[in-house]
Amino acid sequence: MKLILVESYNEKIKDYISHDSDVVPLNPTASCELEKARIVHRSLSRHDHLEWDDNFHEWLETWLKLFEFHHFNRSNIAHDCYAIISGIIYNFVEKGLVYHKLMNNKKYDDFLYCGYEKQIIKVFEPALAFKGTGLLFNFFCEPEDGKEKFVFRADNELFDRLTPRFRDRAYIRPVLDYIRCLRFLPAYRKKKILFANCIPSEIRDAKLKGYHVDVLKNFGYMSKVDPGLKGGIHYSLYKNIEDKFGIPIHTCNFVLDDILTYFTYQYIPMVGTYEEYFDKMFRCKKYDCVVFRHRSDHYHFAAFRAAKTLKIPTVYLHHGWDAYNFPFVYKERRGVYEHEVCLTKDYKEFVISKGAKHNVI
Amino acid sequence: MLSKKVLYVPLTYSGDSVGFRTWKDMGYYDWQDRLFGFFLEYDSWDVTWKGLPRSCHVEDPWQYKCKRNVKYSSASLVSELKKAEYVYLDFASTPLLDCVKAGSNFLCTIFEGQKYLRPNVPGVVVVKDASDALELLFDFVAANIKPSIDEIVLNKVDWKKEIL
Repeated sequence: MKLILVESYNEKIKDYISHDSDVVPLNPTASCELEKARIVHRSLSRHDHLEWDDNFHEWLETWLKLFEFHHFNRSNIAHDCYAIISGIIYNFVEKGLVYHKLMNNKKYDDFLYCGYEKQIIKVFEPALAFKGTGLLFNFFCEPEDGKEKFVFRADNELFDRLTPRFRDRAYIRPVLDYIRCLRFLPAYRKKKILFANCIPSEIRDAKLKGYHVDVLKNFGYMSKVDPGLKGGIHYSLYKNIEDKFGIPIHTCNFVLDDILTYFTYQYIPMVGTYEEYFDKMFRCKKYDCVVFRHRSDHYHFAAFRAAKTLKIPTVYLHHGWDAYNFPFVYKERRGVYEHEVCLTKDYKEFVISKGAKHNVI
Repeated sequence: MLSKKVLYVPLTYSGDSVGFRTWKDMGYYDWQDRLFGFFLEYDSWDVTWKGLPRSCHVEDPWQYKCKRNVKYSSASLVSELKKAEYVYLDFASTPLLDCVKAGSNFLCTIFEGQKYLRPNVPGVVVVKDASDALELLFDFVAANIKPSIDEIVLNKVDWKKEIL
């Protein structure tokens, strides 16, 4: 029986469908396209996935400590960038497990994968490399030298969809009312506050309310890999993934090596460079407090680290719906701030119940 | 004649984005497909399906699928909230906060298997499966019945498994 996995629909797929084929879309758009083309398909069932989330963070944390020990013995930058690296490995492991589960299904003796680049690739063996923008794509493609192997964020083509404008960004922000949160920090009124991530209207609001605020320039994303970088240093991680999740070492090497090399040799050093820049800037501008909503880019990490070095108080402002209970959040991401501002009393109690050692407001 | 104005605000798809997710895209799409079928059954309901933001990692298939009494809208949430009599959400995220702030008549359900929500989140009903969610949605729109606190199946999710 033939299994046809569809990440992006291509009309040619019809030539490959026969009475003994099983068509499985891998995302909602593919499903919709197959439906429009009137091709009978089924969804990935619960059995095609594995329940593996439970111990993942514990495992990841253990590994991250090893990673730090080996590569950044005198620095904890890697730990500060925990969210990024854990997200990368999480997605890899998740897709890898789905891939291997499907490949090991004895029902199928032939596989076809229809990927983002509108190509249909016959899978002779699990030949693995980066090509295209879908992570699962990497599990199916032959390596091809000389081409960009890794896409950290989806490229513009993917973003340039017919979908409507960003959901009410301008309308939602006032509802969230970040600036009102600052009322919990009366000690900082009339003092110099730096927002690590903010939009102009918020700055205006804050200024009108008597705060002396400034905003960190957006330094953009880092998404390109220097092709000259060579990896091969993460064997212990790959071995660990193989032992824990059964994804072979060579698969990990093919798929993960570029991204981890990028992270190790390009991203983290860049954080260090920006840190020096912010160190000088903060000394010069003499901010009394640095406010964060999130740390998701290299310059956020750098600003955070510079503030810590100079002992400038840092504040985390909660945003959105205070309903989440991510296990890693309290330990790795929130506990590092001097103050944490909650939007509701209820949530404040919850955060305190999690053993917060910093000042929860 | 269309009478009940219902607004459905979905969660975004995550695609291959680097980050943690509570729903797998296809699982969420399957649930939405069922919800869509449910909306079509009640053709006296004037349903607005809120479009996903442009920044979503996956193209929104519902812009092509919406039909009959279910209309796709890319207008702002605030303007849609003004028109809606009943708002339905299937995840506790920012739109729920907007509903609370705007004083909308809303129902928010989440499924038992969805982790990463703290216990006793106000305004959120934990349901066992899709049938339960649709039953609650019907009661909510047809008779404006919202589950009382006693009916809310709280703490059924195994929170003890969470770290810390």
